[in-house]
Amino acid sequence: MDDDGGRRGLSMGQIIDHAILDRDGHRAGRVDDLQFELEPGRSEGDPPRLVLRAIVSGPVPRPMPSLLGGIARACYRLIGVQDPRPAVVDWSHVKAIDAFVHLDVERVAAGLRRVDEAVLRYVGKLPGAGRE
Amino acid sequence: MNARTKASGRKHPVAALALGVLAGIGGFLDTGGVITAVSAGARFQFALLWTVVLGLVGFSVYAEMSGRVAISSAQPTYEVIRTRLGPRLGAVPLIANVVVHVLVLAVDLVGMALALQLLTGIGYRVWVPVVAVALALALWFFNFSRVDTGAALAGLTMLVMIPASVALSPNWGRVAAAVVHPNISSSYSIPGYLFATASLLGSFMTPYQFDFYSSGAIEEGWTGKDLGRNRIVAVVGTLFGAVMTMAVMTAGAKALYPYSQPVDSILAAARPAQVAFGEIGFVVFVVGVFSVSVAASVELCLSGGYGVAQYYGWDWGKSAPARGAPAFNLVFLAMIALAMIIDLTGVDPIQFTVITMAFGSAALPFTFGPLLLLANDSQFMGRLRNTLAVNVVASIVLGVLVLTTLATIPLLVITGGNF
Repeated sequence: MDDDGGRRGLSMGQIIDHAILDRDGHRAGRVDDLQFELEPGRSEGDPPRLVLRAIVSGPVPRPMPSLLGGIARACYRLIGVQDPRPAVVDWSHVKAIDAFVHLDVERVAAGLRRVDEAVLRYVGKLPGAGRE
Repeated sequence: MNARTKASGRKHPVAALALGVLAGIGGFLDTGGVITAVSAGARFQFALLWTVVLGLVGFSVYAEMSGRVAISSAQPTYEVIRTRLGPRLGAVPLIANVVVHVLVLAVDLVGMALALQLLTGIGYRVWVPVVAVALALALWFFNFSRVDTGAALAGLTMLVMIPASVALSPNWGRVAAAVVHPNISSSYSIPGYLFATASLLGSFMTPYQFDFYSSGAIEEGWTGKDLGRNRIVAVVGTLFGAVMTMAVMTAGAKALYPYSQPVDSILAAARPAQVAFGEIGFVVFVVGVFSVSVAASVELCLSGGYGVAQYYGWDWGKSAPARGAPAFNLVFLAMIALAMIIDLTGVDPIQFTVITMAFGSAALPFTFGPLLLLANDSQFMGRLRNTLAVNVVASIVLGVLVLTTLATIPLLVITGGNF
């Protein structure tokens, strides 16, 4: 997957901001940011290579001015997300990209359902929460 | 998307038609629509009937476009807006809409409470928390679709305004002329007239219709084959709402205008039905106000949830149990709580309604603009992209709404929120 040869021509806009579906086709947030890494060139004298490492998704995914970031984190804590930070999912878990970004992992295990899970902790206890 | 798989068995044509008619009634005529239309009739007689035509055209064009975007992308409008515009630009329509949703929800809760006050004699402030809790419980415990359908059917009592307007025997020639010809008599205050225009447009074309409409279409599992139905639903639903609005305004003009009686209470708003059919007319009207407000509240709650959940990529869906889409459910519970708090601060319900409707129209370009851009994106819409004719009409409507948006705040300052 490190080799981008097979994905030539894929633009940032085709990945970032897209909704994510997990291996079961369940909603798993949006691609909020991407993580790259600079690797040394293949051989001596080659320029360093930029390699896509991971997709980032979830609460406060990008660095923000401290005040705004603080407000955002406080809002997440208010609705029950104790540790508001995004999930980082290795690029090797990306199976396909179309209107959605498809992963081969399960959303809760990958930390991609942090907000829904946090809210579920109290909302799920209310009577009638399981009604169809 | 657990919702989509669940809903796939429900592609009954009557259900789909109900979705459109419900969207039509709820959006064209809720408490805000009724109060604004009666007020406009009482203050400007027939002179604002033309706004219904503009509202009808604008709503049909954008509702159909919204359904088409949903069908061609298999994603609801706000989902697509968020994906294509990114987190910052995508937040603009979201924030504008959620703010307006909460305000309109406050209007509809107060509408239910005022209706109950008229029927029971107990003050509406007592009823506000009662209806808020009842709405939350109904949405929580019952299938959303059942609440939808029930409220929509009960809302048909509003049809009483059509025979009421006939019974008040207006000069139909003048009514017909006013429908196609804007008429600003010198006796009217121009800022008041323009502010009323903004309020009326906002009460016809509420942005929540669009998340509700397109998310509903996705949940009902619409496909390309449903395009024809999409158009019929958009037109039938809005036509129905438009006829009702004209009836309310005409009845208001006949029963209140000659006496220069301003609509300063729900009692005054109920006056035309009462003049036409006595106590029975009064009761049927009040039941109608209550029901259309319930229907509109359901749509507002759903669309607030849709908008926020789709922005963040959370689970959403009215067919999902609360455990399946917890944050989506939390959003609408929070909206109901906020709307209730606004109502309990002691705002004047009638003035608050008229001002909220004006803000509603000011928020429209933030949804319509991106929608028009998306519907012209050939890479994304393929052969379903807008035709030239649709673009011309849509651009004219958008132009008028942008002017309205720019004028809303100055007009609000000049008129103080009164017609």
